[in-house]
Amino acid sequence: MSRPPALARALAILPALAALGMLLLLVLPLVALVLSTSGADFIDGLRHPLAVAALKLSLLTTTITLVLTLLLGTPLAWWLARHDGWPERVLSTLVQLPIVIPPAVSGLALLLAFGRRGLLGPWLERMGWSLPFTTAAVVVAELFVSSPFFIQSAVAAFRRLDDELLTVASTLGAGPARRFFRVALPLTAPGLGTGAALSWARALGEFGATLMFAGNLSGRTQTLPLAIYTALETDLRPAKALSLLLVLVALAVLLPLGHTFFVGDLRARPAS
Amino acid sequence: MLALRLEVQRAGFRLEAALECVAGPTLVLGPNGAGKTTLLRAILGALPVQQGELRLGGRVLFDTRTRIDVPTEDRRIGWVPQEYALFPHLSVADNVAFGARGEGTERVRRVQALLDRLALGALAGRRPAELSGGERQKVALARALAADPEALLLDEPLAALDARTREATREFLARMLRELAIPSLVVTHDVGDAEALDAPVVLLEHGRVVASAPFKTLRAEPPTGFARDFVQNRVKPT
Repeated sequence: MSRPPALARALAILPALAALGMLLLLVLPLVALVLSTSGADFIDGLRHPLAVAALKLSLLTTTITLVLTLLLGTPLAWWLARHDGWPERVLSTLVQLPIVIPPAVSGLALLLAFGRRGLLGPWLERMGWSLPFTTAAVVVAELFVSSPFFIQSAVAAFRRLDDELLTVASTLGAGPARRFFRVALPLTAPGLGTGAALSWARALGEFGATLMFAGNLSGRTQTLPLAIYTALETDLRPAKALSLLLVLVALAVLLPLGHTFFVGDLRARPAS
Repeated sequence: MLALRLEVQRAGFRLEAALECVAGPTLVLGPNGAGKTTLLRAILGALPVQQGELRLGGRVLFDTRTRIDVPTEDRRIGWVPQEYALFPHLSVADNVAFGARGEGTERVRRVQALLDRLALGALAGRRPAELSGGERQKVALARALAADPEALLLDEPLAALDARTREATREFLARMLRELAIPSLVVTHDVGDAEALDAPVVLLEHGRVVASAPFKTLRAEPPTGFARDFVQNRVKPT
């Protein structure tokens, strides 16, 4: 028995309507942001003292975070990728947790680890350090939430590396450092680059954990997202300008990655 | 002289091999799964060896009794793996120069001499992806030789080539390995390769050396039924 043609037509339209609804929800807020911010507003907003300080702080902290992520995350990713025992599998899952746990939980966990009464607090205090509500705390929060993006990409890139290339390099007299810098690194650079870009973008947008662990102190811990939040209560112009700026930065990060990120084509060049 | 007695235990497989190879090619023959590649990797130090010893020239490279285990990068054993494993991000010249011995101009001269000797000069600037199978094999060989190895291991050097290239390369390889005058182990599962190289043969079966003799002797007087079937090409590679 066939359905009446009118009903069949209506049913055929349903998926299209659903897709349109989803698209509207995703795009409309960004369109509103762009439409409500004139060029003059944008320039004025960025010149606002709140914006200038936050911009400087965000650039400083995310740069330090990125450098630390590369320096500390690369060896960890290498180790996780080159070993296949159960400890590595457990650790691989653990280091990805910050990607999915809520930012507020990250903030609380950081306080409980490094806060004055936290796990390492008394020890840090004896050394004369107090981490919470400092610029260093912003870096620690950004590192906690963003480095897993890099580590995840790097582990995947290192796993795709052809082992035989490293064996050949050893037989040619290359020790571990030379094998890594001359063979592994150039061949995994695209994957590492993608991971670094995603991780930096995540650090730039970090809000919740920073607010809880580092506070919202202008010039010391007030990064771009926190400045937007603060400006909302006083002057909307810097909030809109900074928001637009963050959207533009996000676009600049995503566009070059566009193909590899969306299609998931992250394969390293095939070994000959 | 390359002398070894090695025991390797891997998941579900055991290799026990004792060999002495003089300068020039020695063929390691056997069906797939006999342990040929495992043997080469054990010699390279690229997989764990449970027991035994390995000497090359006057050097002890591995000995479980004295706990000597020279790392792969210090063994000075050249390696030409089955698919050649050329560095895809480096040009032909840079592949060959990767492990080249010597400094400065001496090194450059060495690389150039090898490129010329193997007729690779015109390809020096190309990437491995732009080469034919035969050319890749020559680059892999040149790369291994540039490091001035004291022994050379080749894993199925002809298997990846088409039939026509294979014939020409066989002759070239036989001449080259004889000229080199260092112990060279050539793994193959193809009796035709053994005939062309006409060298001492080590026949492996299920992880054990079942025969060790010149190919002609092996064919004339096969020591076991398996050896007879294999050299008469009745055991087809699986």
